[in-house]
Amino acid sequence: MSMLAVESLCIAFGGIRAVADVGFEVGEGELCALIGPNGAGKSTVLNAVSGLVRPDAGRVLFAGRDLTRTPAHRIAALGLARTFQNIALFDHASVIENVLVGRHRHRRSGVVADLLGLPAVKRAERDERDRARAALDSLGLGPQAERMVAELPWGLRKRVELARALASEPRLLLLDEPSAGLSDEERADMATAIERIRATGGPAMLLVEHDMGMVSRLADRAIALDRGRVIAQGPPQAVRKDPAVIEAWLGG
Amino acid sequence: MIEFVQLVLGGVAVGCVYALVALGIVLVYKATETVNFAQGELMMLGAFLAVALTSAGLPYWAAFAAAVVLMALAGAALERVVLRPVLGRPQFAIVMLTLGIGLMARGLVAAVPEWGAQTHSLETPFAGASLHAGELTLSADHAMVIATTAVLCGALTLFFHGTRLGLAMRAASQNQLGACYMGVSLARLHSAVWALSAAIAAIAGVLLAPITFVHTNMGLIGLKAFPAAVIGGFGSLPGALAGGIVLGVVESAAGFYLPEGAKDVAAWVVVLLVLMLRPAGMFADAAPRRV
Repeated sequence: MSMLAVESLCIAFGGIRAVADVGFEVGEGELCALIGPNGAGKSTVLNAVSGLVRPDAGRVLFAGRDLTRTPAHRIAALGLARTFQNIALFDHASVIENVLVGRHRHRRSGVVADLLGLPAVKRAERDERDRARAALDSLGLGPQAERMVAELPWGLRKRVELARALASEPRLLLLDEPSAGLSDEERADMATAIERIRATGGPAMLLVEHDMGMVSRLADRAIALDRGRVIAQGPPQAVRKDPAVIEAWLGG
Repeated sequence: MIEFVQLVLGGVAVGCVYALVALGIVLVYKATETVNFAQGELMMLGAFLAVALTSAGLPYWAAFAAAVVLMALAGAALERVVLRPVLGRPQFAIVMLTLGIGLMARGLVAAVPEWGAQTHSLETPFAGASLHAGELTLSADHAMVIATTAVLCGALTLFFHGTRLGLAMRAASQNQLGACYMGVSLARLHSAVWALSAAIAAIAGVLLAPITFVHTNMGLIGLKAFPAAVIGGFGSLPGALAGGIVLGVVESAAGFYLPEGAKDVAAWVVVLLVLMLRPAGMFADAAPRRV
C-alpha cells in the first residue's frame, strides 16, 4: 500500500483552476519531488494534502485513510508532518521548545499531572527532552538547543523546522521548498541532512523544490506539474529530458 | 516619607487588580487575536457569584474556589457558543460582539431580583484585620490581593513553561499555523484560553469585592485594565502585570497629591507618556510582530 495517494484532485480559486485532475502516489520510504514552474500548483497540492486547502474534487489517501474531510491538526496527529516555504516556527521560544511542540501528538499528560510534577510525568518529560535533543543532534543543531529562534539565521531556522517535523516521528513528511532562501553552502547542508534522514530509515517524503540539482540528487521520482496538471513523472533524469517538461520550463 | 510608602502599598494592591484584569485581556488577545472588551464584566460576574454563594451559606474560601471554577466553565462556554462562530470575521465585528457581551452581562445581573442594581458586600474571614510593620499598615484585604496575585503569577509561569497545554498555548500565540501542524487543536486551545482568562477575572473580582463592594458597574475597571495592558506593551504578560501596578501606584499618588479629578485622568496621562516615549510599551517583544 502506498503511503500517500492523491486521486484526481481538483482545486479552483475563484475562476482559476490551480489544480486540475492531479493524481500520483508516494510509496513507503520513497522520496518524491513535485517540480514545475511558478504557479504550476505544487504548493496548492501540498496544502491540500496537509489539510490547509479543501479540494473541490478528488481524494487524498494517507496510508489508505481518506483525509479529504479531516481538519489539519488531526492530520498532523495521524503522523503527517510538514515544513513551510516561509517557515512557521515559534520565534520567541527556544529551539528545543519548538521541537518539544513537535512532540505534542505523542504526549497525553494533562495540566494537573504536569503541574503536580508526578513521577510518571517527570519521566515522560525527560524522555521527550531526550528525543527532542536526538532530533536536534541528528541535524547538527545540538549547540543551538537553548537559543531563541529569533536570533538564528535563516538557514538554521530552516533546519530547526525540519527537526521539529522529524521529532513528531511522522510516517510522511512534506517539505515545501527546503532550499528556498538558502546559500549554496546551506543548500548542500540541507541536502546532506535529508539524505541522512533517509539513511536512518526516515519517513516517506514529498518535496516541493525548484532546485533541479537538489531534486536529481535526492528524489527517487519526480512529478512535473504545469498549469495544474501532471505533465510527466518518473526518475528525475528522465523527467528533466521530457519534451513536455522542457516546453513548460522554456516555452510559454 | 512613611505616608508615601503607605500610598505606594495601597497603589500596588489596587494595581494588582488592574493587572489581573489586564492579564486576562492579554491572554485572550495573544492566543486568539480577539480584544475582549467584556473582561471587566467577567470580573463583575465572578464577584457576584462569590457573593451569591456566600449568602447561600458557603464559607468564603469555598465560595472563592467555586466562583473561579464556575467562571472558567462560563468562559469556555462563551468561547464555544458566541465567539467560535465569528472566528475569522473582521476584527470590528468581534470587538462589537465583546462590547455587547459586556453590556448584556450588566443588564442580566441588574435583572436578577436578589442582585439588582444595588451594591453588595462580600464577607471575608479577615475583614477589618491588618498587618503592621513599624508605622506601616496594610489592610488584610490589600495584603490578600498582593499575595494572591503573586501566587497566581508564579502558577501561571509554571503553567506556561512546565505543562504541555501551556507550551501549546505559547506556541499558538506565536504561530497558529505552525502549532496547528504540530497537532495542536486550535479550537480546544481557544476554549482553554477563555476558561483561563475568565477564571483570572473571577479571582480579580473576588479580591476586589471587599475593597470596592460589588455592583453592576464594577466592570468599568476594564477602562483601567486596557491602559495597563497598553503600558506593558499589549501582548506581554509580565508587561500587563507591571503596567497594572504602575497604574495603581500613579493613581494612588495622583489622588493624594493632586486636585480632585486628577486620579481618574492619571491612567490615561501615563498611557500617553508611554506611547510617546516608548510606543511599543515597556515590555514590547524584541522583534516587531509580522502581520
